[in-house]
Amino acid sequence: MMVVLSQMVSVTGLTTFTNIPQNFTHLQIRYQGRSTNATATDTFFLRFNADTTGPYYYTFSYNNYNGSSTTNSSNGGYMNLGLMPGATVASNFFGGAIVDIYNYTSTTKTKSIKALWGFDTSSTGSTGHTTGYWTGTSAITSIQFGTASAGDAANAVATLYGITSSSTYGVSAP
Amino acid sequence: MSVFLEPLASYTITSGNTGNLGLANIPQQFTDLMLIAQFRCYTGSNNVQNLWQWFNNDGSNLNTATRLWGYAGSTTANYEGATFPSVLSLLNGGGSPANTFTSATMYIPNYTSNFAKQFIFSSGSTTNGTNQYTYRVAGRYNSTNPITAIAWQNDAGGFAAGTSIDLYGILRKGV
Repeated sequence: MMVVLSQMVSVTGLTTFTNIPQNFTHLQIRYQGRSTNATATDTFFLRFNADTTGPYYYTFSYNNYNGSSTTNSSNGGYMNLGLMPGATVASNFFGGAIVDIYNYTSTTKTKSIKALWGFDTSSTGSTGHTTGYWTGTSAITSIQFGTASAGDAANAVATLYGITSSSTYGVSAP
Repeated sequence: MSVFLEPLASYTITSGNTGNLGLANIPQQFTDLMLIAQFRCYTGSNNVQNLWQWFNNDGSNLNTATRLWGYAGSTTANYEGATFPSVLSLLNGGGSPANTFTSATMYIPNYTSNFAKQFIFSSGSTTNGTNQYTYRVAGRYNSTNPITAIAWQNDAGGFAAGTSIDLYGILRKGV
């Protein structure tokens, strides 16, 4: 696994990875963030290739301090990945997430993702597992990422990794 | 030095359909294994076929699994006792939207140890906005033999073109 790009948000806003190299098999984003929106939580999301029409389909399964729920839905503008802390929680609380993006260079497959995410805010918190796909079949060359309402707060960090699959170990398949 | 995600094997079905998928002769010099895979059944509609898994060509009832899945407004868990093979999750069928796949990741710690083998599996079917599943599975292969082979099968009709399995090795060493 190799670091492709790393970006720390020093001012409020969103992370955009552009000119993503096409020589890996899968991508992974590791993220720590919080929103500038004046709420307890905010949606965090991604958008591929600046496509704001989609649609993006997702299943959002989560637990918090008082129960669990699953939502199946779609969105034209972006992929809803889960929740991050908002600006009304303590200023040093950041949520975490790992997002897998499968076979991102394929030009025949729709692009599917899996996100594991969570945060704790002392008395409350959420943890979730989100899967979904973007209906586009183009290779992914850019990813916009962050909290949806007003962008990420300072010190949010998103790092993009590339995972190759080229092997010389002689494992037999199928 | 530790090694993270060393590619060990990569296989993609390029045309037609394939019945069983399997990896054998898995190298034994790593500590953990990671699988990144995409599955689509050749036949069937949305989420009607199971993904089955077994290790080491072992047909004994040594597989157990605790599953948590989310679907259409609810989250459900169950436990499956001692079976062969083990059911992991539901899959995209041949009738699901074109070019869609169930994507999955599996982590197998200490696969060469002489303890029972445990794994963590997660997946998501990607069929449409109202008929999708997420799965998280904690599974056990109750054998003390090192894992040298892994195999997968669906209920019927085999896997479709585009189905891919990538296996990685992880080596944990202290600094």
